[in-house]
Amino acid sequence: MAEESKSNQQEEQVTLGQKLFDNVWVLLAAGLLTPTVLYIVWSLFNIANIK
Amino acid sequence: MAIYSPERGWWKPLGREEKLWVSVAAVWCVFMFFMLFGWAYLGPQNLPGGQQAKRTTPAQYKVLADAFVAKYKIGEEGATKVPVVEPKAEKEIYLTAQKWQWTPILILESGKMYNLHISSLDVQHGFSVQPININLQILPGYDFIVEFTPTTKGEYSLICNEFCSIGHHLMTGRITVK
Amino acid sequence: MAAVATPTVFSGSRNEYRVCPVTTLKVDVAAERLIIWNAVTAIVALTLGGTYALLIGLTRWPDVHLLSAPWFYRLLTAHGMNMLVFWMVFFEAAGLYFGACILLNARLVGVKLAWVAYALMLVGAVMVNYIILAGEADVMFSAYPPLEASPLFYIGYILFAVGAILVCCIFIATILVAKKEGRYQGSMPLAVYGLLTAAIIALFTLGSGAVALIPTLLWRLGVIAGIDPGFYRVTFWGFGHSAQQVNLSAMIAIWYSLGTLTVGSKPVNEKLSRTAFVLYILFINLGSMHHLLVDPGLESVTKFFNTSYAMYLAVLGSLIHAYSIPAAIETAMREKGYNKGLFGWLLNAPWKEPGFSSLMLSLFIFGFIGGPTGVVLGAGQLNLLAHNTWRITGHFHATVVGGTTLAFMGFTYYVIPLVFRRPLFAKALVRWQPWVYGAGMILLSVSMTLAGTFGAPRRHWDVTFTNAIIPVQLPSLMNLMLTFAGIGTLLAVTGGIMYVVVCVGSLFMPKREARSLNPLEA
Repeated sequence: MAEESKSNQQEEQVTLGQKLFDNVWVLLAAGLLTPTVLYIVWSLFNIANIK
Repeated sequence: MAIYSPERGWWKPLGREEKLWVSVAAVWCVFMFFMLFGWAYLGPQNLPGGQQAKRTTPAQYKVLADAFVAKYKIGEEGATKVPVVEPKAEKEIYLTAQKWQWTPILILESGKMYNLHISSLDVQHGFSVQPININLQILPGYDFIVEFTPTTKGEYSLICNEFCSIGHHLMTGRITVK
Repeated sequence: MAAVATPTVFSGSRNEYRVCPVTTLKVDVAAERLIIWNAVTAIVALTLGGTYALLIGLTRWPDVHLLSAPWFYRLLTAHGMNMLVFWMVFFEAAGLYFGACILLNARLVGVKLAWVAYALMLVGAVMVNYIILAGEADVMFSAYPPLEASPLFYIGYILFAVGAILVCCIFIATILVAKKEGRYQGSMPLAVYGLLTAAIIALFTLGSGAVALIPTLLWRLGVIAGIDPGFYRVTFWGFGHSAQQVNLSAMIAIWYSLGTLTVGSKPVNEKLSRTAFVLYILFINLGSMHHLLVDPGLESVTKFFNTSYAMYLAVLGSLIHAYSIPAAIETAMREKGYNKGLFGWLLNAPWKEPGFSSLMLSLFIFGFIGGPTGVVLGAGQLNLLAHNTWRITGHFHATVVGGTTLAFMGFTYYVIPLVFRRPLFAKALVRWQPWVYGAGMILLSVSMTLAGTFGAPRRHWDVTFTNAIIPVQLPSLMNLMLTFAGIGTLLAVTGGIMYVVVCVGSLFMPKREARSLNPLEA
């Protein structure tokens, strides 16, 4: 019983922010998507619209 | 330790010094960002905006540039007879970048607003006015339209500061403001 | 019966490991071999690039003007490729294997693929070097169309990039498997987090490079009629400048590591430092816009949002690291008892250790010269005054060469005794190398910057414009700056030679286990 509550405590110590920051897939998706949209796509959109 | 795993729950609140540092830094970052836009209103010189470019081709641009030179040419200079042009009342003026010469030599009037068109007939070039150190990237296929008003009389040199193959260091020009 | 030593094998796999006697970390044998080969190749690239640096520096020194124009432009291209691409990325590959395997006590996933990656990178690097020296790729590292190079140049470039992409994928697979197999508990160390940041940024970088270079190759092969120069510039700099952010993240991971290795520092707040890395992951690639600020056709909002790294959020990340690392060092030194006055902790720090001196010099050069000049040059209106002048060159020599390269050099002094398992050769040289190199780089980058303010153009063989039809004269003070840059080149190259001599000499020292974490005592 005591062991169970201790491991629960340890789980509670790990906040959502920590879990998010530790998630490689989240970081990868964010790191690829953000500059692709904000830099590449936005800039190429500008250039494509030059008449 | 940076090379060892941290403690299990490391998502902890910031200390007093950390909070202070991050707050000051964040405020400064926001200030710097808004100054980028603020300077557009407060400052006397700014980047040409997106609308100040048109698509063209070297052939099309050459037609316009040659017509401009033919209309306002007042002389020639140098061994290769670089045209010297004085646009007088004309607002749309044309500068051509080509391996390895800026054409024409321009004579402009102080206090008058011009739309300076710049494009390249071959590779990319770097428009660089000295000694005021104004620099622009010139691309073939893009007519870069730079709205400006010369304010100080004198002679300004043009050099090229984008590598444009072997004669890059021979590429010069001139703008005179009367 | 003689006892036969059985290799230790990671549980549940076939990968072998040895245990480091100094750090007690498990060292995957296959990863170790890859670290060694990538690091050695990196140093070969650095030596080539450094040789070209000397020749180029002696050409831009007006009184010397060593090379002819064609060879200046040729070797400038080779210098850029070997330094910005090959030296950096081969070393970072070694760093990624180090972080994913050794720091996590984990096995390398995809060993055969890692060797395929190395082969691709090596073939690409050799092809590019060959074709440049053959005179068929005088196009600079940026290779802007419509400048033309031989298709072999672009093929070599692309092969290298594909190999590097594979390395990043192997790194990510390795750290995911390491977590799954329980090789480490909780979150990965901060240094590995920094390397993960580098790897994610690198995947965007290399992807953008592929989008720029593949159509360009198709144009050079005659498959398509041409490539829009604006399109190329946006996508190329998505590779070119973002690659520098890879270098930045790797350098910062090394800064944290060197702090720990030299004075036992701990991050003052893991959440703070990791937040800074996350800000990098999200926004730092936007800085590619720095190269396009005076390009035709991009809207002001697009330019300003990107050039500021999204309201300077990624710069906030850098400011966080700039606080955290010295704070960690100060805290560690004060805990050791060096509490005298305001700066007793700094004066009593182990300045004699190459790991510490390279850390502090790199921090100083990047933090006070390289980084700030970058933010300044990235401000739109200021960029108008600096684009394509030697101010740009001064900025990136302070960051990549004075900052990242110096940090990599300092880190090498740990890799040699601990991974190569050879004592350092010429320890007297080791002690002074960071100082000589750092001094040279400070002189060089500051002189370049000042020369640029007087109008000195970059990538330019003759700032007297001799034989130009219309004569031009730039301020004479610029020539003084160019001379200082020449002297800085000599000093920095000397520092580089010291580093290479130590590395090569160490390879011939007798192989033995390290005896201490301090490289001078190992």
